[in-house]
Amino acid sequence: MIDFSLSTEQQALVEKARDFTKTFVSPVAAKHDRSGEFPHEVAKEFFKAGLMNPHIPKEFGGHGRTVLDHLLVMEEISVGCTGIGTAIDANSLSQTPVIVAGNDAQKKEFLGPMTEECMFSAYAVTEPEAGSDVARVKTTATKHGDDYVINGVKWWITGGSVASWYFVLAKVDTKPTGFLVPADTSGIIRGAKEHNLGQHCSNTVRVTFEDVKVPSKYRVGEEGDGFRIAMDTFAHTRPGIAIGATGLARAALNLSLEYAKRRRTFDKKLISNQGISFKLAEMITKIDAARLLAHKSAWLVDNGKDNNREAAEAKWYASDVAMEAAVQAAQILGGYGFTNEMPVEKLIRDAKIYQIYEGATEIQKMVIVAKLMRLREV
Amino acid sequence: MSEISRLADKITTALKKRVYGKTFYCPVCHLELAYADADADGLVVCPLCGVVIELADVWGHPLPVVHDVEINRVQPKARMHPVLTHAPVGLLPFALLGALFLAVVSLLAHLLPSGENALLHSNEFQALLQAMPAISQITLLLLGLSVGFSLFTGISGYVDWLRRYGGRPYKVIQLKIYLTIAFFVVGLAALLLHATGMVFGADGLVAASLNGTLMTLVYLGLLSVQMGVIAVLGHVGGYLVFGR
Repeated sequence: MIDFSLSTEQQALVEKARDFTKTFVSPVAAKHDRSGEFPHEVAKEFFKAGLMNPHIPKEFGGHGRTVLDHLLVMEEISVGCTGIGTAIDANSLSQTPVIVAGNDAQKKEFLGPMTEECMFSAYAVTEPEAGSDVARVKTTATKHGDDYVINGVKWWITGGSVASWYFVLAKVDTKPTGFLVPADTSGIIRGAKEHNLGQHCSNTVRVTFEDVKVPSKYRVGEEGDGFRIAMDTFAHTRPGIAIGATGLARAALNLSLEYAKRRRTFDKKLISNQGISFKLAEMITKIDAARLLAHKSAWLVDNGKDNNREAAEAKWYASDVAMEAAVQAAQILGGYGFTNEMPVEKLIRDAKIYQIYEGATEIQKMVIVAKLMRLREV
Repeated sequence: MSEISRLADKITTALKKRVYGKTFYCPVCHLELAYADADADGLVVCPLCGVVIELADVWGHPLPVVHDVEINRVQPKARMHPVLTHAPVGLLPFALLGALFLAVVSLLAHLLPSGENALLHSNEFQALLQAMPAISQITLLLLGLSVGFSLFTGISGYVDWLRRYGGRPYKVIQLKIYLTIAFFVVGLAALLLHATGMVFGADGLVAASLNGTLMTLVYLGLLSVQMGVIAVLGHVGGYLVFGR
């Protein structure tokens, strides 16, 4: 049975997130884009509204929401601003390894406090020489008695300078292993904020670990489980990236549509030109397709099914749709799509990262092909 | 320093939000305008560059769509308002300085030791005390001119608003009108205190009493409020003329 409708609770969640976006996100999007300031105030409101940290299980004080529920919220937030969306939702990425592979003591210690106050955590996996090729990480964790000592450099860590703790992927001998590291541990050095092309208010920094001592109880899973945990995490979080991109594409469509219905050229409305209206038709169709892929990949993981291929499809396709929609929106607005006084040029800058982070488009295609090669037919 | 500028930014943003409500920027000249500036059809004419904007709100994002431009705008025949503006702005700081000087000299006159060789009895200080009534009168004159000119500045601004801006109820102009009224009323109160001798006596000094001290503080407070008001007025006016 296929049912594309939302439950009453889900519909209420969408409306709540939509109101939140219009009240707290969109009005400050341009300001944060210009200043690059981390959106602490928005995050506090997000937390107060009960929309932050949706995945934390109820037994640890969280909402215990499904991945699909999370997508419904994040699509609305992303229509407002994907920079703010990334900043206030980066917790999801770092919390997921704890949720999927952590023990109860770790969940209580690291996730519990995040349900009581607005706090941040960060997923410290990427390194200067290891982005898409996660298994190549050079950070080491050396066993000393009952502790591990971590040394290495993590790069482009979202939320890195506001985090209270990190999920760190390091190698014990040659085995990739995950650790939970409180941010106030001696030896952690947070770098300056990176000045990126887009999503300016998302806090992206370098985090250096110099002889950082971590007790064994903070190891997630067994030694050597790190790569699997990182990949399992992406199965939960890539649908979220796909929906963020979908939200951005929706923003591009909303702006283009309103503009094309109002602006007059050659004595008629812009939308009356087929060259413009067809762009809008293509945008909505691709947005619908991207959303369906994202929802399906979320539904699969919520129901305990393998979603690797579908999550990769969703992430790849939606990020391309976001980029294309943003560029087309600028084309529809003409010169006004190129000025930073209008909200469209920001969409182009913000969209690009979707084709890169949490596995570049090329990696998504590799995941899809890897799955495809195991099939006789489709 | 960044903390101070962040705090200042927070206060400015909160005040702006209170006065203007939600705002957007003219996509042509970058002037910040209020949503409330749009008429019933959602149209706004930018007071700076003259483009006719249809304002749409898309998910909380302002989307100003430019439809037209007023290229034959009424220009002021004599630029009275910009010229007159400089009179109250230029005179008030000197009135405030005069008032501060009078207050400080009064303080010294009342507090300095009165021995044979004391500063109080020096020829220079005695000469200064003799000049105090004149300084008080000059301060009063400067204040009077500043407040008086503000009336003409306000009237010329009002005429400009009707002619050049078509009397459109822009929030920024409303703010200027309210601030001008505030400047004038506060200025009149300060003038009254000074002219009636409630602050400075015939000798140009503050009376050595609690009442004298209180009146001086109120007087200086009123002048300070005027300085603040005129600083905001000047900033807002300059922004309206030159944009961002």
